Amino acid sequence: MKKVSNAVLIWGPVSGEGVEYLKLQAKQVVICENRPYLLGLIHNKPLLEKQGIRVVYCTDNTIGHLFYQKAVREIVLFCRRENGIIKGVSGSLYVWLLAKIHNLPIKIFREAEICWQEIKDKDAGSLGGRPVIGRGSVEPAEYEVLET
Amino acid sequence: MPFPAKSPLLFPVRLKGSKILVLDETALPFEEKYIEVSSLKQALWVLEQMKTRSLGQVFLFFYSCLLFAGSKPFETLAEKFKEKRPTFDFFSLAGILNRADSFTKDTRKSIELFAAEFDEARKKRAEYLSRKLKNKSRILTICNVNGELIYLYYALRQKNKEVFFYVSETRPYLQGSRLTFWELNRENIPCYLICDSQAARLMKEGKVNAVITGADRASLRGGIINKTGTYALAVLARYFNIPFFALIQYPLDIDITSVKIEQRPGREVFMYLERQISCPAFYPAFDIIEGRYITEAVKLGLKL
Repeated sequence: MKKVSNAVLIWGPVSGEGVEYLKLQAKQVVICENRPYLLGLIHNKPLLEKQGIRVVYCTDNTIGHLFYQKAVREIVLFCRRENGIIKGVSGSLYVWLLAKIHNLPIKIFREAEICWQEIKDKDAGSLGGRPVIGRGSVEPAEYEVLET
Repeated sequence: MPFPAKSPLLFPVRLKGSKILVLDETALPFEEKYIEVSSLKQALWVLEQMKTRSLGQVFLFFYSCLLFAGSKPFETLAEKFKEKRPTFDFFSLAGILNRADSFTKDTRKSIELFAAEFDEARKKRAEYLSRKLKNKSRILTICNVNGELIYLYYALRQKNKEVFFYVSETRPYLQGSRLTFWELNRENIPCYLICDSQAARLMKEGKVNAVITGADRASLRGGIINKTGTYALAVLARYFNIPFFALIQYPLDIDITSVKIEQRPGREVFMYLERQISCPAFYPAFDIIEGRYITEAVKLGLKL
């Protein structure tokens, strides 16, 4: 079991400028899965590991646990701004609100471009490209609005 | 009141002669198979491997007491069980069985009595909750409460109240997808599956008007311990002013924040992905949810 303390938690597809920030600022980076797409596993993990950044992987529902235990000191969100509105991939609102409720600072970076055609999991009905259930999943929002 | 529910999760562990039949919950929904347990070593393995959990581990413990304990008291066995799942309170279960045995004088009879009473109490709790919940309830849940949501559905429908469920998938073991969503679907109960991180969006859009979860531990002073992800739901529910109901049994006079939280091996985070992944991972099995986040902890009315 890996211990998490004084960590920086990231959400959304990490971009180049974010990597530089994390290299300088974070001794330990918590990578969330970013369901349904598994961006944490597919995009963020290899990118950060390649840069020699120390990472710990966790499921998205662990975020609340980590905040409650005061194991995270900062959130880095990778999202986009459009006409003054911040928008993030599915789940961004979950992280954003939990961070706000726990008075954690949030740093925002531009998200990386993702080739969505290559993403196998489109909703909770599948995991790693393998179906878990038949039909009946709620389709994720294309983007979740965080601040207006 | 008729409750036609047939979910095998209502009683996932049963006795068959001198063996214990354990529904392998990790194989669902693809396969409904039972593991035959005929020794204490096997029982502990089943427990450690999370083949059963929640109510299943209660009956696994009881039947192990019946078949493998040797002599009373049952606390020695509780110690062994606790080594495998440290957050769950097996000592309380040993106490329940000791008390029941004191008047039935027969462990098998005590367990049968407990099972019957437990099921009746679940139905009564569903009935109670169905009176509290409004028509057109849109209930968000996480993990699995062994068929009790099915009882709740029927209780609500008898009152002509409409309801549907949002089921949070509950990574990494996917108890929400594989167990709750599966058992609701089997009964043709309206439900949708969501990723754990979709909860905030649904709440913000007003699509959820109640959250109902189980509880692995509960304190008389308030507060519960339940599957990881429950804390986030409770905090968000409070933020959006949505009632949060916890289904509890056997609350104890304990400080809930002092309970040891089981840390599972990091590799389990990747267990339902097709390939092996090498990466340090963090997987606490449970969350602590303090009483201030809980609208009502709904007890199970048990005499035993």
